[in-house]
Amino acid sequence: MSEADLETWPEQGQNKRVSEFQRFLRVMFGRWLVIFGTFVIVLTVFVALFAPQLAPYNPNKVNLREMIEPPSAKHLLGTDEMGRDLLSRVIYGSRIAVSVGIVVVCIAGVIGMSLGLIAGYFGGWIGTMIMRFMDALMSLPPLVLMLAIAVMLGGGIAKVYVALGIAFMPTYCRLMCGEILSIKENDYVMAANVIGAGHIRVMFSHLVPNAFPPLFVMITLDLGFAILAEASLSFLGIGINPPTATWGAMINSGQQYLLTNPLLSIVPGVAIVLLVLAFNLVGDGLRDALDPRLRGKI
Amino acid sequence: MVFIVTIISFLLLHIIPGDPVVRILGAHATAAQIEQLRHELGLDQPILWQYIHWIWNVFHGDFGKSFIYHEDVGSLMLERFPVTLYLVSISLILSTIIGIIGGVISAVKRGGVADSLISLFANTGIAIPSFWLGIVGIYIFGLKLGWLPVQGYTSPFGDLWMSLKQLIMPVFATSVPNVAIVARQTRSSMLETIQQDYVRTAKSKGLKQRVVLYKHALRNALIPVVTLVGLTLAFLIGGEFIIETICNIPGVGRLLVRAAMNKDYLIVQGGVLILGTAICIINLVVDVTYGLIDPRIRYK
Amino acid sequence: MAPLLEVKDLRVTFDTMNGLVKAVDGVSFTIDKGEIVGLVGESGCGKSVSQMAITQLIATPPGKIVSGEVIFEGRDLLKYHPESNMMRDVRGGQIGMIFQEPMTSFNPVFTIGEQIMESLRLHLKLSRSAARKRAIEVLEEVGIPDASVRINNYPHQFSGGMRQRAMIAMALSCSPKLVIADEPTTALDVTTQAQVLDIMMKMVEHYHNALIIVTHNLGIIARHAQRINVMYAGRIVESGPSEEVFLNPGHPYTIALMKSVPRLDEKRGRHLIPISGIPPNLINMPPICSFKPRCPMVDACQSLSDPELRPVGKNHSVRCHLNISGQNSGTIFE
Repeated sequence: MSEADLETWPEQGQNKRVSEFQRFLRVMFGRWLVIFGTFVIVLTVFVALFAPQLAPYNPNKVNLREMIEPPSAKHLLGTDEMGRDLLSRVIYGSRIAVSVGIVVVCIAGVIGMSLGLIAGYFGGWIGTMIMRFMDALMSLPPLVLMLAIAVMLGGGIAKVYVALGIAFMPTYCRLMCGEILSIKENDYVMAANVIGAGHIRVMFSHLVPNAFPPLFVMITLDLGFAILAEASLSFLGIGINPPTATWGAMINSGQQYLLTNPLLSIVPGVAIVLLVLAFNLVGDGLRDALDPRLRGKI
Repeated sequence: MVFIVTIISFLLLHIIPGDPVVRILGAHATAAQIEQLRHELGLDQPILWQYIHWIWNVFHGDFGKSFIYHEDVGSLMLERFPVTLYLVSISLILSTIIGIIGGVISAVKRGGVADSLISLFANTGIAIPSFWLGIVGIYIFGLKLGWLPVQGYTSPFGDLWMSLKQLIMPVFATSVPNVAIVARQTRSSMLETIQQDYVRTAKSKGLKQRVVLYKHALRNALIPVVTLVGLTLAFLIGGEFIIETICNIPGVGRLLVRAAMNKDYLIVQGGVLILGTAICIINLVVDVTYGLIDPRIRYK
Repeated sequence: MAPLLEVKDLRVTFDTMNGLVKAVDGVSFTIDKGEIVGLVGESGCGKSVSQMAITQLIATPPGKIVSGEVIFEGRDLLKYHPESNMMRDVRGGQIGMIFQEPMTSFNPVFTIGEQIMESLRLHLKLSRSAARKRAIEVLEEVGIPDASVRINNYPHQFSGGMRQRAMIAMALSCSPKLVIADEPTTALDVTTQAQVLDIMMKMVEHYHNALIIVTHNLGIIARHAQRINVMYAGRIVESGPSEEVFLNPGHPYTIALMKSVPRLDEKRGRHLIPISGIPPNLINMPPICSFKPRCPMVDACQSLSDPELRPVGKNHSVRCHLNISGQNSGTIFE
């Protein structure tokens, strides 16, 4: 062992030290399932954006001569009870799915997080009131709640968005409130207060950024669950304006034709499962990559 | 708590825009009919009065009359309640047990084939809409293979065998998402528990691996799972309601769904109230059970 | 007389995201029946890992006992499967362990009594009532007041010090031939430390167990241990009778450790002497003396190779190229 060898030996402390970001990427995409999930999501968004180019037929084009046909060369998945091409309808259905996911999570997230922020930061009776209200909201079966709200508000997809938004809101509120409560006690918040930072500044510069990681995971998971929820409602016939194709409604109308073209009900369901699964996988990956301590908390 | 639930139930109807009476009667109603129905329903009174009136009646067991069925809401629900209870409890018990077993196996054999399979199933299970599963089930087992009846309901006190056969599909469809949730939670809880110091202590005492896992680790791991049962109950019930609609089972769910579609608002109101209250009570029970299992809570 | 436990060239590695960590890199030591041996070193030097390896308690996905022998009463424990009857018999019955964190070392959902009785019923095959009696006895011996009542308490109802006493009771309850105490008092406050240590030493001396006490507190070793092993970077760098090592330390690290302990009889205003530098990263260690980067004697050391353990006195060996044992080491560092 010579001096020269020693010189070139990797210095202590520089042994394959990975950066935080690299570690994040490695954990996140280290599992092929997460890669698969990301792929499915990207694919779906792509399909939703380029539906007109990708769908072989107009999804709403009624053709009563070709009703309920099994899969053929002309119609890859067959046709439904109005002669509309199933494949095209499924493709267009992705638009609704993606938009529902995004809109609902936005509504639920923004309102829920704001209320959670207020409840957590100010505490006192406002906080208690808000949390109690959320608890009550959460104790109702989500389906029933959404159903009741959507129906009472009248039909139509906009009302569905609102109903779903309200039903998904409590989780964000509670999560945000909980995070804020624990972060609030940290010294750097106290320090900010001491130097005279106003409420808004403290909230947005310090509290929110640190509260975000678990919420981020929740958002990803909820994107999927919102789609699931909307499918349940449109299955029951709420929120859709025929002839718009939504996966849930398609499953419903396909019920009667199970013997002739079962794909009518099965395929949209598969689409739902794949997409929601994808969001779950990505959400899980995000959770494991962001902070292993979150495992089990969400 | 329940108080707030009542407020929500009530507000569901009354803060929404539009006139419920008009919607009930349809667009062709005459002004006189509208006025009459409105008066009958007490809708021409101030909101606070209506609320108090409704609550007062509720305390006396009077939820009002359904428009469509022309019967007491209370009795309508009561009739259907046992059916839903039957279905929900079987689903709950079955799915919890299977979920726990699956989660434990998955955690103990971590990284192995069983774990991958169970985890994949658990992840997928939450993504499956139960109504779709029901329909697929009907297709495969009812229509194609003809093994199971597709719809309908028989009381277990009538024909037990038939009753069970008819139950298989609905219970299966409702349970799958729940099994997935329970399995996931059990798995992650178990994995975390296995890393705890007291598990190492148990091993260092020379206990058999089986004892260490199933006596020391599992009991601790199950604690969060128990709380989960209370939380997922609401979710389970929601799924079950749709299944009732598909499989034509005369339960509370089917009633509620139909009522919502038909704007039979008193049923909806009453239903939401009862459900919310029931779930609150169950959560309370869960909290108490939690205290029984975890001595740390018990002795605080 | 053959030693009770003879560890030969034990090597344990951990596979981490950053590389392979050589936590224990060729550790050998012996302990006789009834002997008390101290194991000192910084955090991360491998002392805990080496002890856990004796009873094969290392988690084997990331960890791995690569090679070595652990000869207990003539039998090499490493040749047995971790879950075999032999190992499980040894654990708890022949070798008792006391861990560092009393707060989390007991299962929160079972009473202290149940957990102690579990051990007794397993190894001594006692009946429930006999086990209960013995458990109460042993709790009384460690100084738990009102033992017959407190035996039914849950861990969270005990204070930290009491929990550690209970831990000691549990480890000694089956009269094991060897007790391994891994930093038993580090997590306690200073007054409790002294009490708990006292109890432990009294029990061990009473029952004539052999004891390996892992610690970074030299005072404990000085008072109680007959032999001392000093570990650094996964290896033993000095080993010998404790009196000898304290009087004539041979390794610069040992000397530095002793110098860093503040003493009551020092002049006021004298600075503390820490050991400069930071503990080494055990991944990818260069094949030179592991202490070299921090060694105050580095200028006097010409060798570039990895030193072996060499005897420098009766039963006293040191892993260093220099031979400073016996010199007036006091002046070297002033």
